Amino acid sequence: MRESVSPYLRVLHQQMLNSLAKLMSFRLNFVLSMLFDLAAFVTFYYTTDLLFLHISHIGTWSRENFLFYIFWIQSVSCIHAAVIAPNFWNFAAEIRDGNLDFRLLRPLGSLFDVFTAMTRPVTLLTFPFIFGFVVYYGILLKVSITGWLMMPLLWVLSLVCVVLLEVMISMGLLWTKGGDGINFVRIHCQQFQRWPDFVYPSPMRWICTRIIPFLAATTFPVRAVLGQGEWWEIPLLCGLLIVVWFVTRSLWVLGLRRYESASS
Amino acid sequence: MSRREIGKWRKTISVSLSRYMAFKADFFLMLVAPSFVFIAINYNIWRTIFESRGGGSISGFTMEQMLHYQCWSFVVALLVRSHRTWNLSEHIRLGRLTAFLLYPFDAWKFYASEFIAFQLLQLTTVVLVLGSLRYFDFLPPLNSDAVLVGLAFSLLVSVLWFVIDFTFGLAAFWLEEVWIFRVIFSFFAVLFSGAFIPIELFPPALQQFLAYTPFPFITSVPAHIFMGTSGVSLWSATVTLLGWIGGLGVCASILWRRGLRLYSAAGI
Repeated sequence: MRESVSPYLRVLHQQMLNSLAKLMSFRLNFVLSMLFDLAAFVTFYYTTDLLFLHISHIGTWSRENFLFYIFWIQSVSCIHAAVIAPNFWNFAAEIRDGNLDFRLLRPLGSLFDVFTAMTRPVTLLTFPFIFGFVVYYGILLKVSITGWLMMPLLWVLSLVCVVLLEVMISMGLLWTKGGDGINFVRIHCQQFQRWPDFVYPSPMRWICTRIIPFLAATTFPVRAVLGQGEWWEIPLLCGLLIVVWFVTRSLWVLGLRRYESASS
Repeated sequence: MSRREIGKWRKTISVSLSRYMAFKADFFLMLVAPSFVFIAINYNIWRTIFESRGGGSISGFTMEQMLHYQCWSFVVALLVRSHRTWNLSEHIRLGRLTAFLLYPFDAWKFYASEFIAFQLLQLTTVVLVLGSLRYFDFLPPLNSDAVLVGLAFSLLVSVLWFVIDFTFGLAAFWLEEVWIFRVIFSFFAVLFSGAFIPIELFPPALQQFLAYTPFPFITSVPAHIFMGTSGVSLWSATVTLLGWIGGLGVCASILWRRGLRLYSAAGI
C-alpha cells in the first residue's frame, strides 16, 4: 500500500513545488491570489453576518452554527482550490486540443494525473487562518470531545466527497465539445453546497442527500461534529461515496473510448 | 456610420452568434445551470428565512416582495452579468491580438460585436425565463411598461458591465493572469449590488457609501424598476449610469493605448 501511494505523493509534492516556483516568478500574481482568497472569505462572512443582523435563526441554526458550517466549507474549498480546482478547465482544454494523450501515456494513474497536473499552493497559506475559525466557532458551539476527535476524519470525508462529485460531473467533458457548460454546472453545484440541506425543499433535499450526495457531502459531517446528526447519515455518505467512485471510474473508461485525440 | 461599417458590425455579430450556438450542449447547460441554482438557492433560502421568523417583514420586505425581488434580481443577472470578455486577455497573452490589429475592423468593435451577439441570445433567454416565472406563479401579473423600461435599463447596465470586464481584460498587457480581478469584482458585485441581500437590508452608512459607487446599478436599481418600486428618478439614474460608462470607457481607452505600446505580439 505504502509503495503504491508513495510515488503519487512524490509527484504531487513536485507539482506543488513547480507551481510555487512559477507563482513566485510572477510576484504580483502571488499577491493577487492571496487577495482572491481574502475576498472570498470576506464576502461569504459578510453575507452571513448581514443576514443575521435581521434574523436570529435560519431553520434551527443560529449565527454560530451557520458560521461554523461556512468556515467548514471554506476550509474544504481551500484544499480543493489548491490541488484540484485549476485542473477542471485544463482538462477541458486538453480534451479539446488532444493533449490528454500525453497524460494517458504517463506511468501514473491517469485520473490522478489529470486532476493534479496544475496546483495553486498559495491557497494553502490561508488554510490555517480559515480552519482557525472552524475551531473558534466549534469552541463557541461547545463541540463534544467525540466531535473534536471525529473532526479530522469527517473533514477528510467532506473533502473527498466534494472532490469526487466534481470529478464525476467533469467526466461529462468527454461527451461535450466546448467544455464551458459542464464547468459552469460544476461551479454552480459548489454554490448549491454553500447552504445546509434544510434550506432546500424536501424532494430536492432527499435527492441531494440520498442519491447524489451534493448536500450530504457538507451537511452530514458538520451535523455529526455538532452532535446533531442521525446515526445513519455518515454510513450512508460513505456508501454513496463508494458508488460515486465506481460511477466516476465507469464514466472515465467509457469516455476514453469516445475520446478522439484531436492532435493525432 | 457608413453602410460598409454597418455591414462589418452585422457580419461580426452574425459570426459570433454562430460560434455561441456551435456547442449546443454547452450553450444549453450555461442557460439551465443559473436558472436551476437561482430556484434552488436564492428563492428557497429566503422562503426558509421568512418561514423561520413566522412571516412579518424585513426592512420593509414581506416574504412575497422578497421572493419577487429575487426573481427580478435573477432576470437582471441574466441580462447584466452574463457576458465575459474572457478571450481578450487570452488574445493579448498569446499574441492573437495581432490578427485583430490587422483587420479593417477595430479590435474593440470585434469584442463589442461579440457582446451584442451574446446579449441578443440572453434577451431571448430572458423572455423564456420571464414566461416561465409568470407561468409557475413565481411573479405576479407583469406590468408591461415597467418590464420594457426595466429591460432597456438592464441592457444599459450590461454595457457598464462590459466596459468594466473589458477594462479588467486589458490588464493582461501588464499581468500574466487577470481572471482574479474579474472574480474578485464578481464577489463584491454580487454582495454590494443587492443580488442576494437587497441593499435596503445593509447598515445605513454602507447604503450611503454604495450610492456613490456603480454597484447598486448592477442589480438593485434595475430590479426595483422592474418591480415598480424604484426610489430614484429614472432620468437621474440613467444620467449617472451613462456617466459611469463614459468615465470607465475613457479609462479603458487610455489603458488600451498604453497597453498597445507594451504589446510584444508573443508567438510571432
